[in-house]
Amino acid sequence: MVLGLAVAGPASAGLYEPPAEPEPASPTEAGTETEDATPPSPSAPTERTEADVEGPTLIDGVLPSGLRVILAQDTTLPVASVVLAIETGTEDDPSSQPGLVHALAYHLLQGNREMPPGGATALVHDRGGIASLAIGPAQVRYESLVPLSALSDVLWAESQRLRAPTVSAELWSSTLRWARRDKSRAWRIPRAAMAVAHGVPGLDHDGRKGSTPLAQMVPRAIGQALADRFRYELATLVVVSPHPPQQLRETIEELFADLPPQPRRLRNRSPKQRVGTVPQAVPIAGEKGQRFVWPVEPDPAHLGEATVWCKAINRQRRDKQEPARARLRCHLDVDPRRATLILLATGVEDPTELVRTRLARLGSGEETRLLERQRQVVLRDWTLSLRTPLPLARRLANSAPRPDTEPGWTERPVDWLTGVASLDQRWTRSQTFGPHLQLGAAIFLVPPESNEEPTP
Amino acid sequence: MSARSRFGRAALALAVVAGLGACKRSKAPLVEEVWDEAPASGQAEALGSLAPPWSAPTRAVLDSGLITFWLHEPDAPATHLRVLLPVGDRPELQSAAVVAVLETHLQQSLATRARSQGISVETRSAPDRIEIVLHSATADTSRALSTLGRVLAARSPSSGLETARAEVAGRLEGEPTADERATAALAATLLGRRSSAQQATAKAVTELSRDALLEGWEQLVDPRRAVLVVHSGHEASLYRAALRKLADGWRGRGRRPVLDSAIARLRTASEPSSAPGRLLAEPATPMHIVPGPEGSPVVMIGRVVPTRSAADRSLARLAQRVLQEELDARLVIRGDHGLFMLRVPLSGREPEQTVTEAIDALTSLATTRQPQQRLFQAAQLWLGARMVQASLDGEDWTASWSDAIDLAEDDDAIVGALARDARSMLEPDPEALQQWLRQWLDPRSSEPGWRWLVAGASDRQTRRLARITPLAGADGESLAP
Repeated sequence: MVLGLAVAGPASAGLYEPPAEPEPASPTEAGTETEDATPPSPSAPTERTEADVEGPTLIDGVLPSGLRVILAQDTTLPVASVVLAIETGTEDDPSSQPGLVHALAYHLLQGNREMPPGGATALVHDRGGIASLAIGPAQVRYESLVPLSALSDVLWAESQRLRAPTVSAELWSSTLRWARRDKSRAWRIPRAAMAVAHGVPGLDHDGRKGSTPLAQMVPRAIGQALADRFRYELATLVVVSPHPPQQLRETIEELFADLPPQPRRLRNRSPKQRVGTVPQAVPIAGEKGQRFVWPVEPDPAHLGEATVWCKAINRQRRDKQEPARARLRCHLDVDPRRATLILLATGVEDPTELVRTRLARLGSGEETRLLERQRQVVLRDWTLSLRTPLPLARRLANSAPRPDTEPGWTERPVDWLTGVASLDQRWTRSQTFGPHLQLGAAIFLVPPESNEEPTP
Repeated sequence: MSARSRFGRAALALAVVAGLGACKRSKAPLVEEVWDEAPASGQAEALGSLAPPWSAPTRAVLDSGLITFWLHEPDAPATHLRVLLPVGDRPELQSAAVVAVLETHLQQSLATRARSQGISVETRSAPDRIEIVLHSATADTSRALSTLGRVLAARSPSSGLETARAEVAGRLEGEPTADERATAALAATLLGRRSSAQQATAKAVTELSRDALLEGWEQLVDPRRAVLVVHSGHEASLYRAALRKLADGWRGRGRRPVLDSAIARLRTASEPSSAPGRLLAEPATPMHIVPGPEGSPVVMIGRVVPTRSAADRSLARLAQRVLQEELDARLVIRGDHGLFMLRVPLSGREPEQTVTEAIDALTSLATTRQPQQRLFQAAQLWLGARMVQASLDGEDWTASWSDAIDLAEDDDAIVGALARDARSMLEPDPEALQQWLRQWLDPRSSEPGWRWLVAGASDRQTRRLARITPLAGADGESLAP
């Protein structure tokens, strides 16, 4: 791997809790960029609010440059984790230049006036740390875990990374060579189905596969593409270290003080939700009419709840009235911004009916104990995985956008941002599927010749 | 500190990153190079204390003979159980094929039982031992102990061993690479063992008898030879019943002497072999030819170095770190000695020149005084990497404990071994290192004890290598140049 960098898959699963009263979902334009978009919030099944959550806190702020900064404390070991997450991804590739964002993300390893090519990575490696790069459909992350003595250098490197990157034909050529070594990400469903499920046409291509137009880009165009897509006002810097957050805050404010003021830019990555009573049939080559797909809201809380539902579905017992070979399997394609829940119904003549009855059983409160057990399992897994700095920083980078985009700092509960808060309460009979997990919100993958909607 | 001066400092450390294209600057920034000033170790001090910050562990020997160390970290959310099973001391376990099958069986059977219980399982190979590790939530500690006991108490898990054998044989299909053959052969030579003790082949795995596997299993899982290390958020006293149950269910067979020291159990008493020779100097060590197909030829050079004290180990690590900047140098420390290895991929046309250049580079580094700042950087990198690894391992202190076992002289010294080694690393002495390098790592004039061998070389390459050194076959028989 180039420079010892691992291109990680997008990060681990999150947690989801449906609203107490499902609201009718209105279609939203996914992937559009606004300056004052209403961010998706990790809505809880009960009326629990952020203010109700106890436990350790962090500080969450927006700098005048538009950069969001999340600072959390972990005193266990003298190590620190730093994650710079930029809300741009392969789904934002122009149709004429597939693979552009993937290549640009690699190009940001090539340094700038202050850093030589590979400099930021070498800073980490030379102190015994690790660095990785995660490129997803809607988020790019630069991650590092370093000894505490290297923290100030790594913060400085992140404050430089997006500033006037060095661009030359020679460097771009080596960037494309690095990018070509990445394998395509394997999703459980075809990309075309992902695109329809999320209502984002940009998902319908392999964002890790370069194209001829990329090789023909001139340095000026590369510089412009970088400046358009990789900006601090689209980014979040997460630091988990033994330092008290307030102390680190001053250091970071100083590092970014010379950037010009910019309003924070939010990207609405909420999927385009469907309404209705039956899933939308989507003809896809190779499908057998057995798979149902739901998009999952792009925050840890919703991802987490989808995990609970999925685990519960995989443990449901077969109903007496179902055929002996009836089977319903659930899989969650995990991505911080473009997660997808997939149900595979086999051994029945009418897969839609099997899905409908199984979901009805879960939604009716009849299987609350099953859901409660799975909630406990997911909560336990999350508690264990988030106790060290790197997984925690990664999860915080995937948290929902800050409600307030104005510059300033707020103290917030760690568990709220990681989604643990919404898992940390008993499952009740009154909890039902959120609107996005209703049957009518799904798409149904069918063979190309039978594109009729299933019978209601 | 300004950004520019910070970069200047970093640039010194980044010299090894080459070939990545041009930078905008045509000249490097002016940096004052003060190479031999005393390092400012203030920031690195914290790295030197990788040891549990709580009280010493509770040590106990269970009725079954199992030695346990219980590390209690108040409020830790996870429990880690690590069982250390020695493999280097019994003839039944001195076959890499047997050990590979047993390790795979342990992994498979534990993972099968643990999957539904929220317990994760991993295995790790350490010098002369297998380690199996279970991670669970603290609340599930009893369950994890019970799972462990059920698997290790199995008397004759024939079907499980057969499944593991098939898995290992499938994994080993195909010829081992020249690299693998050379590394295994050199390690075996340095340790004075047969090469089958270091390298398993699909054929060897397939030909293992059922009895060999069962005898190996019986020896491997005997609790009177094993050590259990627990890191938990709960105190050991809460798990008396679970530990009693573990001791009742998991017992060894027959009568045997029971060593009451963990170090004695885990450290093989045998001394590594010593060779009388040097490289490209008298007395000359012949280069052994490792049998096998041609392709990707490589020469492996190595020797045993003493690592009895923390100072010795620090010098050995620093030497390896400094050499690694220019050569592919490796070091494995196992108790009071370490294996130093140098890998030299051969060029197709002039293999003898490649080897000579590598020896020259090693000689040059061994006879050059290293600046204190450079040594401090090397030490900091090692300490930092160790700390980062501890974090990536989920702050599992049993992993650090396992490392500390290889550094301690007796059980009481384990708890402070890592910190002692780290402190020693932070006090690099250029003169001491230079002397150590001259004594042990100058292939032409250091203490004798060097070995080297070549794997994957063609006849032509072998003939050319014969121009610089005598050659010997796999059985040690000299070959005419």
